[in-house]
Amino acid sequence: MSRDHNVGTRPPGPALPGDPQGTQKPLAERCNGANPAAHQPAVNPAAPPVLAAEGVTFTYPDGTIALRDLSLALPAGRRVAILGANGCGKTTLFLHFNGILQPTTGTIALSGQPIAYDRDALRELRRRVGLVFQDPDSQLFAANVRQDISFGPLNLGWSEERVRAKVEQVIGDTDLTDLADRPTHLLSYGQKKRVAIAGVLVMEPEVVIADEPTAGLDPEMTGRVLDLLDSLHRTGRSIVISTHDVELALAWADHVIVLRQGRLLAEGRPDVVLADEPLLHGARLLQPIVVSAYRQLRAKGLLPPSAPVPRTAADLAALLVQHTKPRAADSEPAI
Amino acid sequence: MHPFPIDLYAYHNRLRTTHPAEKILFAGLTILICLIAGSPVVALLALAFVTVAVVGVAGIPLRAFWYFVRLPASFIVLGVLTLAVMSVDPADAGTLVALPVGPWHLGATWSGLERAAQVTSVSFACVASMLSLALTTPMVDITDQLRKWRVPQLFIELMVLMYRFIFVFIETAQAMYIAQNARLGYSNWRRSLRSAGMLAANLYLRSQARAAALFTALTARGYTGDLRVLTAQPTWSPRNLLVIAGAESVLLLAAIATWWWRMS
Repeated sequence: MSRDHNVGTRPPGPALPGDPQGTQKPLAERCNGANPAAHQPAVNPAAPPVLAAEGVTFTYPDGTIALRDLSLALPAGRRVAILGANGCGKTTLFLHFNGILQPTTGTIALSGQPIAYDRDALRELRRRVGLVFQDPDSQLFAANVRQDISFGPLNLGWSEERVRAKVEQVIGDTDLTDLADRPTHLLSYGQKKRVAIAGVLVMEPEVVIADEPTAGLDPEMTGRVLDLLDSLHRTGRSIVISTHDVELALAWADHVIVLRQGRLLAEGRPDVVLADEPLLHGARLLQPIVVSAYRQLRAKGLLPPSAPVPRTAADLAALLVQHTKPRAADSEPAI
Repeated sequence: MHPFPIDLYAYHNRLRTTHPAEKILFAGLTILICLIAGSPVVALLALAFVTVAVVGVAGIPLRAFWYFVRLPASFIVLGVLTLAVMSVDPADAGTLVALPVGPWHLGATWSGLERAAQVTSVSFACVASMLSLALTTPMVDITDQLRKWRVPQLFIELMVLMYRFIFVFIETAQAMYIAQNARLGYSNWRRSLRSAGMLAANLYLRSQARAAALFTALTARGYTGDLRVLTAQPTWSPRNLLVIAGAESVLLLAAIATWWWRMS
C-alpha cells in the first residue's frame, strides 16, 4: 500500500505569477520538512489571524448541534489543514467563514474584524474568502468552463472588460486553456475540481478555503490540485483545507487544527499534533504511517529520542542515513 | 458513451463557430415559412435545404441526421392517422375507401389524405429545421444569443439550469439504475416496475438536495438573484447571411407560387 504523497512522476503543474521556479518538484521537497522557513512568503507575526471563530455555537434547524463553543484562529499567510472525522463540523465551519451560515452564538472575524451580515459586507466577505466546495458538480452550473469562471467576478460588479481580462488570466494560470470552451458536463472529476478552484480564484480572494480538495482524486490529480494550492500560497494567500488524510496534512500543512464533534481538540504544528497518538485516536483519526514507522525505529534504537518527527518518507530516509553509523568494513576496502 | 449525442454533434461540426444568430435565423425563418405556407412542396424543398445545410455544410453524417429526424416519427404518424382515417359517407364522391364498422363507415377521403400529407411533410420539415439548429449550435451559444436579444432573464436562467441538470440527472439516474440492476432490481417485470418507481422517487429527492447544494455554492460566489456570465463575441458572416437570404427567398417564392396555383 502506498500512502506516500511524494509522487515523483507528477507532471508539471500550473505556473502562477510569482512562481518562477516552477512546480515540478515532488511534494516532499516543496513542503517544509526539515526547514519550516523554506518557500514561505514573508508573514508578519503580529498580523491578526486571517479568520477566527470566537465562542461559535451553531445549531441546524433540525436541532443538530454542529459547532459547540468553538474558538480557533487561522494564522495569516499559512497553509492550514483542518482535520476531523466525518461530521466533526468542518464543512459547517467553512460555511460560517463565507457568511453563508451565521453563528447561533459567538462571532467570526476576518483579519481581526468581526464580520457583518448586510448585503454589501457579505459581498466583500465572499470576494475576500473564496470557498471551493467538495463536490464540484454542486458548484459548476454554467454550460461551459469560461462562463462558469466568469460568474463570481460579474457578481462583484466589475466592468465587463475587467472580468474578461481576469477570467482569461485565471484560465491561463490554472492550466485550463484547452478546456475553456468545453461544456462543464464533459469534464472529468479532476478537471471539474480545477474549474471549481478557478471559479473562486478569479474573485481575487485573500483566503482560499477548500473542502476536501483531494477527496476522490487519483494521485496525479491530487498532485495537480496541491500544486495549484501551493502556487496560490506562494503569492501570499492563506490556504485552508479540510481533510481526514493525516499523511497529507503532515506533509503539506504549516498549521493543523483537529476538530471533534464541533469542538476544538488541538491545534499547532503538524509534526507535533499529528505525532500525538492518543489525541488522534480521540479524534477518530489514524496516526500517519511515517510517524508510526519513526516511532518503531526509535523504539528499536535505530533513531535517537532526539530525532525530529519526520513529515515525509524522504524526511524519514534522511534521518536514517544521518543516524546510521557507517560500517567501516563495508565502506572502506582494506588496503 | 456520451449521454446526449445531439450535444456531441453541436460541439463537433463545421458550423460550430458560425454566428449563432445566423443559425437561429435560418432555422426560425424556415419553420415560419413552412408553417405559414402549409404546402408539401414547400416543406419538401425546406427539408432538402436543411439536409444540405446539416449534412453538406456542417458535415454531420446523413445517417445520424435521419436518425434524429425519425425520432418523433411515431408521434407524427399517430397524429396524422386520425386525419387520414376517419368516419366517411360512402355515398360521397370524394370517398376513396369505406369500411363498414357497426352503424358507421371508416375510410379515407381525398381531402383527408391531402391534409395528412400536408401535416406530415410540414411536421418533418419543422423537426429537421429545429434539428439543424440543435445539431450545430451548443446550448451556450443559443442562450448567449437570447441574452443579446434581451429575452427575459428568468427564461434564460431556467434554460441554463435545466440544460446543466439534464446531465446531472442522467448521470444520477444511470448510477442508481446500475446499482439497482446489480442487486437484481430488474430481473422480472414486477421488480422492474417497482425499481423504476423507486428510482423516480429517489431522483426527485436527490434533485432537491442538488438544488439546495447549488444554491449554497452560488451564494458563496456572490449570487444575489442574477445568473450573469460572460458571453462570447462571434462575428457575422456576410456570405452566410446572403446564402440564408437566398434559401429563404426561394422557399418564400415557392410558398407564394403554390398559394397562387391553388387560388387559380
